Amino acid sequence: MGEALAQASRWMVPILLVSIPLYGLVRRVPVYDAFVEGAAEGLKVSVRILPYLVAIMVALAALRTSGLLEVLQALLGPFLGGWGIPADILPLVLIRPLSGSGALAVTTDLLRRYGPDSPAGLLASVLQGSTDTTFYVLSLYLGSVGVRNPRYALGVCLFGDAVAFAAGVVLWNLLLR
Amino acid sequence: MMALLNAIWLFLIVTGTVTAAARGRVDLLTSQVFASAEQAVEYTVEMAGALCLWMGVLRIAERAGLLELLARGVARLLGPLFPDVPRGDPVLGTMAMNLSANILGVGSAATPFGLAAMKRLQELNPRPLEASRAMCTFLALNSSVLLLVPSALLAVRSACGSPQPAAVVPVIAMVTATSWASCILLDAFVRWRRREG
Repeated sequence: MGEALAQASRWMVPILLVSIPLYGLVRRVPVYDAFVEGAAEGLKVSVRILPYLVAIMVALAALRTSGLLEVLQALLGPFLGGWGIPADILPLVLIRPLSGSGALAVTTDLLRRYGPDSPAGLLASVLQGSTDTTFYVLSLYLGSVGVRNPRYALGVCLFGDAVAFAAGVVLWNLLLR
Repeated sequence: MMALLNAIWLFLIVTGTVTAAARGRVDLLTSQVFASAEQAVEYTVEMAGALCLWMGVLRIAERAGLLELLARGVARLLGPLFPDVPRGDPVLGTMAMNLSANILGVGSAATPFGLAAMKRLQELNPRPLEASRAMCTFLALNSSVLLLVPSALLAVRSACGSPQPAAVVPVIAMVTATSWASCILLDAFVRWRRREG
């Protein structure tokens, strides 16, 4: 089933690229003009996003450089050992909601050190795959329309991440170890 | 809540910088901070192309009436979750496209649809500086979404030499189905508690 889904993912982009303009042709849309008009909008959105990206990435750089993550790891390591969770997984849990590329970098590092199909490698894979970069998505989406106050959205999304982390650890224990 | 984002950002900056200074890593911090700011620009530039491409394609779909067509189809699924969005509004189709792209792990296609959806939700938002109920629901749906094809992860696992890169796919599907359902329920619960619908 995984193979079939991977194929679906591979073909999604080409299919959209062909079917949407062809449908436009059928409906007599000036496809080239419409595309350029939309693309101009895309450029405006990118420019609006940039300040948010700078703010988040600079804060993360400060956190990484400080070595605070290592200190936290030393403090919490013994608790996690009881569940069989390697302490090295902590930076992933902390960085995952904040930065997608940062988390993927942490995961790559874990997979390279422990091996992709080792218990630690599988747990890192599950957690990486199961949660989203909540802070990034929220600041990107809300920032793009100029909304300043996320209200309860942040809490609900972080709750989703917490559920995913918990379910990930439980199912990893049951099915993959 | 906006205070929380402000507080987290300030906390990261202040504790990171002070700790780095205390540990004699001032020079490293300075260079890292500027490097990451530059990287943010690089990411934006890299993303701009994909964003233009998909917003361009999206505009064709919009002008062809495709989203209105799709919106009618998914209105029954998304409609009840978004009582503030008028029935048959194209934003339901845009959100459906965003969620479908997320489920198939095509993040580059999902983001432009998501941003387009936010733009329309903002037009419907009575208080433009605050996230509307519809926005909160959409963000909850989006950030916990069911993931059937974790494409970036599969690429990394293959690159790290795994003979079975897709071994984690069923578990990830189960985990994200759980978190998706939890988020939808919590969002509904919060709205009910606030008597907002």
